Amino acid sequence: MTETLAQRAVFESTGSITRRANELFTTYQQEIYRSTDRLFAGLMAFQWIAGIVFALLVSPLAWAGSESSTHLHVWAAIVLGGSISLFPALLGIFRPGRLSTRVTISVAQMLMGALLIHLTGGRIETHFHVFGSLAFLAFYRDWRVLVPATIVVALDHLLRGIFWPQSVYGVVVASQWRWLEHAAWVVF
Amino acid sequence: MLAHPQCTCTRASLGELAEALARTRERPKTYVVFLKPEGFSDEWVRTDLWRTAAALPDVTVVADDDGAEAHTFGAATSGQTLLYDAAGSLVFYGGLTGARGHPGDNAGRTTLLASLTEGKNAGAPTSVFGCPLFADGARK
Repeated sequence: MTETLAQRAVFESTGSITRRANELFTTYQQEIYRSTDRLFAGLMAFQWIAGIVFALLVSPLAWAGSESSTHLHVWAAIVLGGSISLFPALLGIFRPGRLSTRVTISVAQMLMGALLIHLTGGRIETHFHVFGSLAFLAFYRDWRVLVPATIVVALDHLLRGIFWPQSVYGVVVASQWRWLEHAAWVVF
Repeated sequence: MLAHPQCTCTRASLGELAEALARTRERPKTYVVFLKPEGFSDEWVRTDLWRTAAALPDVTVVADDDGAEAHTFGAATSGQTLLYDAAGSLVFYGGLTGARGHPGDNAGRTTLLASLTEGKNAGAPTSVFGCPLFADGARK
């Protein structure tokens, strides 16, 4: 069977459309990655400041009788919060669009949740930060960022559940499988 | 309960005290005694912790001038709680939280509740987590 000129034109046209569609897809995907990276750069800074403000409002000073000193939570909010937030925020600004930036941001976002949960004494309400973070991470429309985020949450709950359950669940004795329940909700 | 009015960890202790009192059928006569070091104003003592304690049902809140009551009861840490039975015997001595500023189930509250509802003598004291009531060397 010989190919007619009309058929060849159709094939070439289809191939060209597919290539163009792929180009547009990649362009829009990169735009989404880059704009979401920039969004997270701002969010990282906001969360860092919010953690410090929270610590300053709720537990500014540690007292011993009539003497006071800066509360450990304030230092944790400044130093730990900064260590977690600063690097991914800079990546979001200076290296947007890369997979390594997205993965770093997703890990940092969940670590920030862990810090906030600790600063609030393991309040169950602060765990909502994890689900809010998942919603933000979904802006990337890239399932790969959810993998490290879920691993961080599962590991954080597993290790703190073993060594310091009060810090993460607000109770002294937690079931050895409770981390799995929390991680399962994250996966869901 | 002996408490430091500026100790943020004591918010959790008061929460646990409220929880324990809410679970008892007959509430004990309860005092929350806030430290007032010499030279400090009433405003320094009357913090949100004071107001929280005062809002608890059947709880009397008092200021402890220069920690006299804390010294009498041998309390060194904010959140130190003592329970006496009707005969005046000490049946509970310890803290009501499992860590500094962390609310939730813990040995202290469970033991206090057992003492309140079943009249059990707690035996060994539970750990107290909170700010020291006295600076180093200031304890008499």
